[in-house]
Amino acid sequence: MNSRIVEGRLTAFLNLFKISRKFSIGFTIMVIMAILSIIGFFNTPYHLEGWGIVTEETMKRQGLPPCLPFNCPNINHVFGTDDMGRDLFSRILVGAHLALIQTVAIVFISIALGIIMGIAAGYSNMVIEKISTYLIELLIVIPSMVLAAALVTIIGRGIQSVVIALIATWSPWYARLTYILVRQLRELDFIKICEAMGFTKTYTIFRHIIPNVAPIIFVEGITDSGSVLIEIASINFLIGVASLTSIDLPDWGMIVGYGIRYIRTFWWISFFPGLFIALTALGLILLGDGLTEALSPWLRRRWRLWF
Amino acid sequence: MFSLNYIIKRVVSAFIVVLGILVLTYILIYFSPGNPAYTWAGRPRGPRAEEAIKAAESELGLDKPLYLQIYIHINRFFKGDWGISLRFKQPVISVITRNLVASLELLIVAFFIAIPLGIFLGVMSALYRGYLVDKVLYTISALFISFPRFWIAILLSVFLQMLGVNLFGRIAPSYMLVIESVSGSYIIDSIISGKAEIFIDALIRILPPAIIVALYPMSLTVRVLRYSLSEKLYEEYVKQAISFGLPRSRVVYRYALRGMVPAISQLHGITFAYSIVDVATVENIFGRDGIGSTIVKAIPYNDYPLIIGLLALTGILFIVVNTISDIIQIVSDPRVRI
Amino acid sequence: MEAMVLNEIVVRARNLWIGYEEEDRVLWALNGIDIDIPKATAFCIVGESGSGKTTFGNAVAGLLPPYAVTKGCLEVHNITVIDGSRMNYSGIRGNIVVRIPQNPIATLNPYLKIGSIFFDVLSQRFRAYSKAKILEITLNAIKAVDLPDDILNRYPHQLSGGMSQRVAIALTIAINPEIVVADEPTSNLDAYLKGTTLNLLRGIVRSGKTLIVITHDILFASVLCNFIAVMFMGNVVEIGKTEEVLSKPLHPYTKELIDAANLDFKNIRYANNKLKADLNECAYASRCTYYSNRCSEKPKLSYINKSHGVACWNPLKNS
Repeated sequence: MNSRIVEGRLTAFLNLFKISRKFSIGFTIMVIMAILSIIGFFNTPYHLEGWGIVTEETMKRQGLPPCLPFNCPNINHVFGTDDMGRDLFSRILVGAHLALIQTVAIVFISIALGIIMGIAAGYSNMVIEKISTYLIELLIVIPSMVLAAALVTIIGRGIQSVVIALIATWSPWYARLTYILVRQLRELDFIKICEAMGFTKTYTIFRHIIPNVAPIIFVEGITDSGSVLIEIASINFLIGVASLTSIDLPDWGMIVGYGIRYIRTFWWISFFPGLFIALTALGLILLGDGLTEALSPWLRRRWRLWF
Repeated sequence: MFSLNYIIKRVVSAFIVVLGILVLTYILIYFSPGNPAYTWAGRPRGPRAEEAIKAAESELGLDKPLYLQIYIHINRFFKGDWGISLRFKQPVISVITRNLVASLELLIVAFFIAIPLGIFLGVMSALYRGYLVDKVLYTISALFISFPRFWIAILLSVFLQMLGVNLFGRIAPSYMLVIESVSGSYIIDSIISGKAEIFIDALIRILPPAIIVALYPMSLTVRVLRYSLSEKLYEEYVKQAISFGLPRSRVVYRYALRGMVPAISQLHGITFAYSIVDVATVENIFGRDGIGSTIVKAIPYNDYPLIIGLLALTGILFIVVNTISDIIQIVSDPRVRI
Repeated sequence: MEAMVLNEIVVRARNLWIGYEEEDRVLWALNGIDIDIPKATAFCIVGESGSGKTTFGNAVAGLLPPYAVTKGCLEVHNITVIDGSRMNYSGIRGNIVVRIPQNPIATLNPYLKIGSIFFDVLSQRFRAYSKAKILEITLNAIKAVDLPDDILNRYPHQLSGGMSQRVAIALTIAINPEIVVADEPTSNLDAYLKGTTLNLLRGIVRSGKTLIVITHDILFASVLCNFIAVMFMGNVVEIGKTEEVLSKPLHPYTKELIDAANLDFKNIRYANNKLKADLNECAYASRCTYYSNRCSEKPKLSYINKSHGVACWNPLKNS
């Protein structure tokens, strides 16, 4: 019985590849990125002490030529080296898991907070509903970039500032979507019957509302994750531009941002991390599009102009 | 007659949200780790640090109770006294307004490019779904959405440099002294003073960054229309218009698209907020003044008053944009009008 | 096949197949039907939901969705509109055929005033006419359906159901087409509005137009129309003059419909139509009381006299 369910899910999942080429491409890109990030997490071609600085000792041990700053891409350094002589390819590899973890964390936490806020605004008592509605409206207008800058000045230049800022600005969107869905659900008979039968609101929320709302929000979240990744990278780019000293944290956006001061001569510092951001975001967007396409058959229909 | 009642309600709630933003900015000051005055003074070090923190303390009124502090903060905000920028040594309000106008100029030009082009291409994409036109448009819009705009901007700026075209800055340095600043936007200023060559120069310089900023809202419009216009074409009244034999352009633009005005207006209310990040990054690459360069200059100096002022003002800008987009949604639908 | 030869034929379907593309197959809504609709008559197509009658109406009015698949041939007003898999309705829509919708209030553009809807439609129909001339036609049409003039300044949501039905008919009158397709014109109306709609539709027939009424209401059809075609699961099972069909039904399904309309449910059996009907057997076989072995083969429409045809191996014997 159980194995049959698993098997059914597996065929449904494999069918996705058959139905949508976008999904297959996006999935392939994301799998490659995930593998790269795992590799980067454990090991890199130029073993990193701290965040990408190659010590004399490791170089001797590995028998590698010394790292010079601003090496253009060559056999030893596929993507070249940066101003401190760090191997860019290694830095990008290490940055992969940072980018993926940031994106996933922001999307998931925002969805969770958004569902909580949305249900509070749409299905609780009067006072909480009013307060939550205003809270959503307030959070929705906060500019993520400026909030991130404020947090950077307060708690420093780490990924946490950007993650907090983006959670604060993305969760209200999911809250608003949840709110709209909950409002629609409330009008339906099965929720009204639950109320009439005297079930508690908590029971109704967990048994009926969340199971109906969550899948929709999650598909939306997957579609949004590409935009989230770009937003993270853009804000980190600004932090990178603002940085006066070379950055240790191998965040892709920061490397690009820091590199633009050398763009006229040493283009590779900004080019390659940017390429990886672009590829990852493309993978996420194709994944989301493929899912949407698989879920709405009419989007795949042959279509000819009939008027 | 529009539904005035709704509009008044919307404006009042927008005002409440403005107050909320101001309270929030104060909370960000008050609960900053360590001493708020220390943060407000920009984490000063050295012999004069003590003095600066004292000054910040009295400026924020930290000896008073919290609600009074918030009141003072809001009051000062409406009086236009937002503190002194540590980096620019000027009043925050003048720094921000100067730069915000520059960013808005770029943003508005970008949206003037993005909306008509996006609607046109989106209609093409929806009508010819599955054909080559649609496949090309889908690919392009997916690439433009997923490629970071700052990266595209870097590529473009390098490319322009290779061509030997210098489009850095908002205006050629030699014109900077000639033109008198009225609105802060060089395009408007040059029209006011009637200097055609400055106008052309400012316009040419704004085009490359504006096109790059326009990529995101444009591509999003294409995708949204591709997805939902075909749904709209099945709507009964559009079907009936088809059965009356109306020409295709009329069916699409006057019937199907007319029903999508609220959705498009809402979409651009959202993308406006998202695009400000693109504006900030692209500005830095093209060497333009604006909020992006302001933030970049403020971060290393811990210029907290400037960032807080920016947070409040951009927040208010978004509130205004959201309110306008909501009102357009209401006004464009005769069923809700009274 | 011997066809009815009465008048000039305006709609001629020959072995017409129309289906809708699904995931990986085609759902056929019309299974090779032959219909001839004579000029200046009220022709009614009755059948239950899913019988393909709306598909036929849409095919005549040129409103098939883009994922429709066609076979066979359909001629409207001597112009071939469906030829194999090709469709071409240019010049037909809004000039020769107009559809009166099922739910009129939803078919008026909610963002335009009634006046501009009229102007849009009529300036397409009469390209050479001046604005004043178009306004004149509009006002005449409005008067013909007893609506006040100030309706032109209203939005569709300000109209009642009956008014919007009359606006839809006024639009039809103003366009002055050859063929009018009325898709379930009375399904949402109460008895009184049904009567007024009936009168307006009769007026259209009287002015020499061909009216194709698509309905499930055989009583309404019998009052309005002079020809009836009964459809079942994408096939025409019986066709003929109204009085002949109603008084001497030949097909068991027609009998069932008439009994149901007379609230006579003695002989009704529960429907268990096969969803994926075998195209080679009689579609009604699974429900038929007179089932015989021959019914596993699909019957052809055969005419017992000049105008009355039936597709059944064991037609009912009427005394």
